[in-house]
Amino acid sequence: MNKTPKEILLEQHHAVAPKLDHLCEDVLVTELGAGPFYLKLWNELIWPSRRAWAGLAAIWVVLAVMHLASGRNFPQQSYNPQIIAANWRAQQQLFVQLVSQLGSISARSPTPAAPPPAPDKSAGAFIGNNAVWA
Amino acid sequence: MPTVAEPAPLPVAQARAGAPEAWRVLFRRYQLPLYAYLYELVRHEQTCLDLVQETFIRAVRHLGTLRDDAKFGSWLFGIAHQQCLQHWRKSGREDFVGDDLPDVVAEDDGPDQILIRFEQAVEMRAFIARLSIPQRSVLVLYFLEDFPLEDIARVTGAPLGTVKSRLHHAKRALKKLLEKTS
Repeated sequence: MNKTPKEILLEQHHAVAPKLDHLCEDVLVTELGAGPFYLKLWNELIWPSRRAWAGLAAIWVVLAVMHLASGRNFPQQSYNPQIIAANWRAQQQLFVQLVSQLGSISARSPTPAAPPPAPDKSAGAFIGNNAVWA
Repeated sequence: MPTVAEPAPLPVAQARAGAPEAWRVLFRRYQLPLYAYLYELVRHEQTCLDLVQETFIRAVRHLGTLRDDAKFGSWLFGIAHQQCLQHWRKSGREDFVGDDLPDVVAEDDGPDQILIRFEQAVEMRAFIARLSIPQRSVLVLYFLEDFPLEDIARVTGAPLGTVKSRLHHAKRALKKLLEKTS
């Protein structure tokens, strides 16, 4: 079967066609803003500062690992719902006891006496003056 | 008399207006021939992909400088050729400047339609690889896009007489090879 030189020149490169398609879409996105939103976001926001984003991601990974490592030292039973409910019941009982004790104390204690009248300052001064006079 | 359907005109005007779909049509039309042309010159896949990408980027940015929309193809290949020359200059290669072929113009090269049998394809590729880069460039442009000689001269930046001479010698040598192997 005979072929033209053009067919021969092109046929050996058909395997690279998907790469060329991808490359064209990249150019359309970067130069003309075409394409889906996530691709635009990737090309305009993430890819130009990829090292900074990678550094940030690494820091987050380190923080996450440290958090997980330190989380193992905390007592895990405090997150048990049965224990939380038991603690809650105990606190409720304590509160009831405190309230009832306060009620009984207030019932037994007498009414406090009225405070004595304040001394009349003008009379005292007069008496004082009389004493001085006497 | 049977009529041959003419290919649809390329949407260059729409592309100039910034329509992504028009650019997609243009890219699809030229991506493989451009790659094949650059591959015959550079012979390195990743470098060729980079050069095609750079060519498309420059085309999008500078389409406003194209005066004749019908010449879009040769204009695009011209950008690719310049990108290739820049790549060679950066890598210190110097054998792309010219060749010492006699500047003789043949009036008749015989029939232009060259047909190659399946078993001759390998020999044709090897023949193209043996040509000097300026000759290879002219012959591949001629084969791939069937550009007129004036357009090939514009793409390669060579004088028209030089292009005619290079094409004549390359075609004659190829025909001799094909005759010998048939």
